Amino acid sequence: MTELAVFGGKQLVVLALIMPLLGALLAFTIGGRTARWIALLTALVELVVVVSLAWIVVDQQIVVEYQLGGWEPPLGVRLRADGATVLVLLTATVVMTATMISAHADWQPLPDQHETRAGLVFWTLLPALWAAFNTVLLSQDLFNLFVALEILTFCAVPLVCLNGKAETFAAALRYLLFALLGSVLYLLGAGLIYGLWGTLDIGLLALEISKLNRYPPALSLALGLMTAGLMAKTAIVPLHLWLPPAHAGAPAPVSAILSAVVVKAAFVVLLRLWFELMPGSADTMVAQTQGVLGGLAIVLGGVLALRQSRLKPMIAYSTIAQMGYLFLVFPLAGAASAWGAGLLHLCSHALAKAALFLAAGQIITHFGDDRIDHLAGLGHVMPLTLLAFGVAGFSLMGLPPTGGFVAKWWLLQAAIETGHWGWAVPILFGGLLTAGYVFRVLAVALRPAATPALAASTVPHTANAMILLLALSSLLLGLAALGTGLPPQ
Amino acid sequence: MTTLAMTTGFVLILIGLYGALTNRNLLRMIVGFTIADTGVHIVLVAVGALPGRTAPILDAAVPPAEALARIVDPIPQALVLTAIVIGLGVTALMLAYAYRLFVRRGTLDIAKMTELKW
Repeated sequence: MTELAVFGGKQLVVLALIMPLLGALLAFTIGGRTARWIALLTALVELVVVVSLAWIVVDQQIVVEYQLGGWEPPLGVRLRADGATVLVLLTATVVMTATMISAHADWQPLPDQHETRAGLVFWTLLPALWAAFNTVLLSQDLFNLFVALEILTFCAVPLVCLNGKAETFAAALRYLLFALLGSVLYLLGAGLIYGLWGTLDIGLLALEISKLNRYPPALSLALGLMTAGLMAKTAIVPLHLWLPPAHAGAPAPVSAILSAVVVKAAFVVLLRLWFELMPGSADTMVAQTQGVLGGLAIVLGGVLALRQSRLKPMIAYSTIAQMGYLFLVFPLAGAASAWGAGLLHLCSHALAKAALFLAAGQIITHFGDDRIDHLAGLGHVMPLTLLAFGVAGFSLMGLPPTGGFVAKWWLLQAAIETGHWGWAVPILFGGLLTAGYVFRVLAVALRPAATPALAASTVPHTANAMILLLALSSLLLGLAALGTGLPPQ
Repeated sequence: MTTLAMTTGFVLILIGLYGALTNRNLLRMIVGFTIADTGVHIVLVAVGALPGRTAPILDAAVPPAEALARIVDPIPQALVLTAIVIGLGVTALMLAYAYRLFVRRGTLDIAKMTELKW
């Protein structure tokens, strides 16, 4: 890849940040019944922008860079889009757009109402959250990343308690406290790093760090603090307590975004720290610890998901388990396939998990019950929704040829290649647990209903189409990854 | 002076985190986090402070030509200003949630909010 910025690409990088932000501001100022149309229009424009950016980066094999205000680092802030960034950007865009379209009829004001509080909050904060997530992906500045992560939290937390119930307030507050703990640690780490080299630009810092023979104590402390902070935000065991109530208690479209997109942001920053700032740190204590916690998360998340009696908490615990897979990337970083496996798992999980939560939302609304034992007859009433649920579930399990399969296969390859066979145990055992909780739902749902009087499905076609689209994207991502092979690191 | 500020900052962070993690009362937890946040700000300012230098304001006393040798690093101060604004927002949001919970539940004890455990 050549480090070359082209005309067109630069503008698209900036547009990718500005469009959702503009959408959020307009939706809030104009409000009323127009807010959701503004948000939906923003999503479509953003889709075009991101697809064009991805096309430029992939087709011309370049890295697009933009310096804010024309200032070069260390004074200025850089935005940068490479192949990996663009893949995550594209995934987030597909998830966001599909979720918005499937939720377009929710929180509609009554004929005599001007607007609903929940509707205004949803259609304002969702584009704002999107802008923050894109900033996390594109920014190359450690402090900028802090600000972006904070905006992301600010947008995500009020969405959790959209329905205004007291228990979701408690869930939102707990989420906020954990996120804040993470931010405090991250900011302290970033400050210490600035003290060492007087810059916050990841590229310049990587250059300085590569000159070192051994890391100074302040750097180790800073990276430890930042890693711990980001781990609180990614809900890795034992910092996972906030996730299930927040993700399960939120309205389904919000759960989809939180589980698919928001938790991934802090992980993307972790990937930056460990693969760009300090490549070759797979054998350090911290990397090994991350792997062990990831393995614990896979087992604990899987077991707890199996024990849930309701659909949404089950899917929320599944997120904890699936985030665990991502953390196996760090101890396996020595293998060429680890980086690609992490990236692919991130994207395929985002697509599959969004599909699962949206499907669960439709099941609650139209089937009227999300207790797993009560789902008998679902396959008869809502066949398409259940089909999407199944396909997305297969991707979580890692059945071929889904994205989840290829990602786990690459992780296994990395475990074999580096000779650390032990890591294969949580990977395979986690797959079994996932199969357990997905099949538990499918088995009940395919049974004939005890009372056959249930009405036929009234799920809107657009919602079903979007859920199927997400589930199939997760499957197609696996085929595409198999076709193209390992991405360059 | 820098060492003093640095030490104060770290001590505040430890006090704040201890308070936030050991208290069951939401208001005390929020105060703890705010103290820790302030500690981080002090550390950041201490990081940019250079002994014997003046504030980064260019005027008659500090002409631009000599500025580089005479002022402290202004970037950490700019960062801290941003962090203070964000911290204010976070604190306000947390207090708003704590208040709503108090109105609904009549308690600020986080241990009593048992429905958090699914």
